[in-house]
Amino acid sequence: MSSNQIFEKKLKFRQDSRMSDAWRALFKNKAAALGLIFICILCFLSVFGKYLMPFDPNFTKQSLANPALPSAEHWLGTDQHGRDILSRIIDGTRISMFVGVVSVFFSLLIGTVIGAIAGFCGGRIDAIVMRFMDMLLAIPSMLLAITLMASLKPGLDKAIISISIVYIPHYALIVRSSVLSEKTNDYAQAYKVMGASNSYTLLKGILPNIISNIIVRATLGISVAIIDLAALGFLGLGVKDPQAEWGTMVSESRRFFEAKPHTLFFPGAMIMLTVLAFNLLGDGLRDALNPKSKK
Amino acid sequence: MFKYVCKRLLLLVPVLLGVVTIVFLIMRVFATDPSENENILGKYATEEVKIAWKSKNGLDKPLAIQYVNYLKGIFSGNFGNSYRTNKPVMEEISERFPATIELAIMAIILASVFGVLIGLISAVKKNSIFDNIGMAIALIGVSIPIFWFGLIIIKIFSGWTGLPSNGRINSVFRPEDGTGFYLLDSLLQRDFEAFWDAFKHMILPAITLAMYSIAVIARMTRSSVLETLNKDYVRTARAKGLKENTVVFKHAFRNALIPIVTVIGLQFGSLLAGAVLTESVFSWPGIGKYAVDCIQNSDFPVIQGIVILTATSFVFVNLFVDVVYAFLDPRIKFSSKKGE
Repeated sequence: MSSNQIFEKKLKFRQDSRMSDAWRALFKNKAAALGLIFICILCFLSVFGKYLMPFDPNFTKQSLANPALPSAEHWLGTDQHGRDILSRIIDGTRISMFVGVVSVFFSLLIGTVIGAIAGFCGGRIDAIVMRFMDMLLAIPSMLLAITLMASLKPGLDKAIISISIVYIPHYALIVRSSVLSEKTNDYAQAYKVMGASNSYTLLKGILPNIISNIIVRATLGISVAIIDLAALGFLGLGVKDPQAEWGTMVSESRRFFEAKPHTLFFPGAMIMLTVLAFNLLGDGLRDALNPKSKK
Repeated sequence: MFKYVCKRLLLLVPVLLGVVTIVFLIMRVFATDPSENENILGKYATEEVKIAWKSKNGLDKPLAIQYVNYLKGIFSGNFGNSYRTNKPVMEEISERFPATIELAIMAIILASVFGVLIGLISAVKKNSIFDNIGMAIALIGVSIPIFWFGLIIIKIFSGWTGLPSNGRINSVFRPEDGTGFYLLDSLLQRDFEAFWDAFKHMILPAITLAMYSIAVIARMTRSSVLETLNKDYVRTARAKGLKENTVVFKHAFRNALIPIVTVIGLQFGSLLAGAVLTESVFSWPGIGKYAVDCIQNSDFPVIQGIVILTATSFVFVNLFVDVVYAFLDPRIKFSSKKGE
């Protein structure tokens, strides 16, 4: 076994034990564990929701043209078209979780590549890339998202593209600053001395050391993406009708909520709980993965 | 310091030019043809009418030429005319921007007072019930969808308090001339009834808009005060036998202020632009609601103008915050001098 392999094996062992420490710390944090459990329920609903829905989410009942109050048949009542709100909320879970995770995945992937290259290469590449990111960051995120969405026209794929583009610079900046601070560390220098290539140093050396920070940001990022999707839906720029989406449901309830507040309450509460769960998990992960940051 | 500000101002030029380019490209390349929008030329516009309209607005020229013309216009202060009203974009925006600024100022005052108060109590009474409640409020503040919160407080408060939830002022009281800031105008004209009406209209939207910032400021205040409370000089102050209030306010809080002031400044920058949802919920006639209206009507010149204006005010507020930061913290001033 070469010294290189022994070094990597030791490193892996240390990383494994750090991960299990982090898991233990995460489960000790009740709020974070609660967030994680709620997210697991949401994931379950996203996958198996269609078997659990009491009604077809898009089935309109003409006899219930006005929003009907919660009853034994419709637990959370119906909307103005007589559609079952519980079924629509369950159906909306799939959309919100999907958009949240996929848009964060794309913005994280592109942002990480951009940030890592800029931070590692430095010099002119860094300057050019970061000026471009500054331009995107100068446009307020909500305004950029609605501008993109308005140009691309409503739709699930368009929502993912818009939200992804808006948050690329945020991830790029975080990854860049982490890479900048890590690349001066002794271990990164050691890789260089050992003759490792730049990409090897970046992928095998630096990235594993900043991954915890990225995971925390991504978790918090999902909550932001979900709330942004709901906001786009509220402004009428989200997914296409009749697809159930929480923000659109809140928007549709505006005409009735004074008399029938249940049409407003349940979808909005679902957005809040979901975002809260991801925030709790993100905060918990930060404390677990970065014990120094705990105040 | 002067050099530092000049350098930062110069750096803003390429950023703003980039913003203009990005917005232009999004609107002209990805967006659908505005002449197809029913709200601009009507439902039954013939092909000839559409072509004539496009030629009138310069949309038939190659993209590069459109871009150059647009840039030329911007440098002479002309952002084009609205497709719908045919009025200059700047005129349309300047009619509405005071409403947004007024709301943002009110919201940031609310957010600063409550945010700092919650954060300070949480830090001083760390791990107590007050801390838990304060941080729970902060957590809910960052998690709650702002539009939903707005509608909920309309439902709860508008009914029994009689607070208006729609518009900026009762049309009877609308000040005719002035700055466009109704609170200020009504005070200057000594019309206290109008002032009270405008103030009442602002309460619910300002609370809604402030909610997120309260949470962010409270979290920042808590962590910043906690950090200074652990410092040696605070221990020394306590060892000297100073009263707890003096220790907290004079020694800990004062030194914790710099990051708090920074975050308040940054929040104000985002409030100026982030009022899209709040303005839509409360039909507040500011640029946020106007942007949404224009987007639905493919009114490109106005959308471009609004995005460029908000981005500009956003970067200027950020620059101002940086300068204030450097001014407040002598260490930064020193390091920037050393760096020159």
